[in-house]
Amino acid sequence: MTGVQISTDQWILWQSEAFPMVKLNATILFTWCVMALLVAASWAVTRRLSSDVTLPRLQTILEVLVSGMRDQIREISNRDPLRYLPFIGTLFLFICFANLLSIIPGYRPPTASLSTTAALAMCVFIAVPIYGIASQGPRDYLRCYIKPTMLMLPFNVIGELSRTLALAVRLYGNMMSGTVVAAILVGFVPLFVPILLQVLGLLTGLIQAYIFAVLAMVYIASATTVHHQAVNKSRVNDRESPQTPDNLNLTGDNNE
Amino acid sequence: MSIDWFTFVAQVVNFLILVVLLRWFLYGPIMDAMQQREQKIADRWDAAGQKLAIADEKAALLDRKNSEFDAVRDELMVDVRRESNEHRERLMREVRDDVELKRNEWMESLFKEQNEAAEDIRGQLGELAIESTRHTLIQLADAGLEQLVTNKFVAELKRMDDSRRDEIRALFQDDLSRFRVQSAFELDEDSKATLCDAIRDSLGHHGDVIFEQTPALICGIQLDAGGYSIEWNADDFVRQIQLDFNDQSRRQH
Repeated sequence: MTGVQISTDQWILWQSEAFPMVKLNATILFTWCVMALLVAASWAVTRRLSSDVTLPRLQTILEVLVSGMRDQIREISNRDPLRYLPFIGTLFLFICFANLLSIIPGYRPPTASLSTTAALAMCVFIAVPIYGIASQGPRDYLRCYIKPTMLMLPFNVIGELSRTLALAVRLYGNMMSGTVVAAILVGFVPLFVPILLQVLGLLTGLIQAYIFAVLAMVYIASATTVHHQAVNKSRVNDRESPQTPDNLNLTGDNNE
Repeated sequence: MSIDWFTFVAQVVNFLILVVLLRWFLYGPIMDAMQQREQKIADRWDAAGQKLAIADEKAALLDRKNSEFDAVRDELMVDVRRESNEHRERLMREVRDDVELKRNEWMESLFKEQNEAAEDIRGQLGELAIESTRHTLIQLADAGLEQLVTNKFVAELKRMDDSRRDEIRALFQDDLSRFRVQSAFELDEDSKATLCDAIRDSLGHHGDVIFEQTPALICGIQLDAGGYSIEWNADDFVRQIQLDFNDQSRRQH
């Protein structure tokens, strides 16, 4: 690596001679490091899980983390969180740890690469219709794009694309800017200020991980909740019966 | 700011692999452990609820038994109180009877002592009166009291009504050997001879006459035969003096 490289994609560690496109850059390497850390820590803690009332300290931390994400997902989606926990939770944990590890000298967060943030945003972009179709079927899901009129179809498609782009650029911009600003300030003010910027970068990375995961959950929830409200409303109208506790629960888990 | 498409695809794959790995190593085990713990807590909660219900039942049973015990205790206390009252009344009655018996015994003893004292007083009074009379008679009339008493007794025998004398004779004929003369003082031979003569003349007795000295007569002579008695003594006189003395003493008290 020569000079100040803005993106870790350009930090090439290995490249195939037969297929020059295939290469190992710092983004992928640091991503693997984060993945290895997360998997190793999870395996180390969960291989001796205790179901007693008194818990080991690390298990307590993991349970607090997982139950916190589960409650957050339930609060946003108002539905069973276990279905979304692996995807949303992995988003949060990966981005969070990828950003927090930037405190280690020499480490560059993979989230400072547009390729990584775009890949994560693309995953969300693909997950939203998957969850929506799994929840309400392809016909009802695709019908949401032409509601309330057919004229809304291009706007809905643009909205889907723009929010995906926004996800990617928001995370990339925040993390890249922090890295670049810190690198620039090291040249001018080598003492104290970079430390403060590192601390601020940790806070920013944590917040960005939370924002990314929450927005992803909101997008997924919006793709599934609309259907339930419409279905329950139609059921109530079909019955033409007085309100009961059953048909008052318009967005309950049992209506899934 | 550009996207490296190989990195883009690699990161998508990496992320999907990470989702699978974390689902396998993190979320699954953690959620299972949490569910097991929640199940354990729920089981403990249910067990605690069942134990609480059992404890409530036992408490209710204990309360019921306590109530029954209280009722039985009250009944027993009523019986015990009644029995104790009866026992106390019986004891009081026995004590009262004992006290009455003791009192009666004491009163009898007192009466007996009183009688003995009265007898002593009467005897002393009689002796005193007789001694005074004897002394007076000797000093003033030069006569003995015993002699006068004997003479008076003889005179009384002689002055007896014929009908009574006959009645006595009829009684004495059946058992003539039992004539006995008792006197408070020692009779001399003349007096004995005089009395034997008077008995033979008045009552027709020709057998032996037994003479005995009896201080209880105080002063006088008594003739006994066949359960019949003729007496001439100062016992009635002394007894009347004693009664007068007792009345006077009772009035003063």
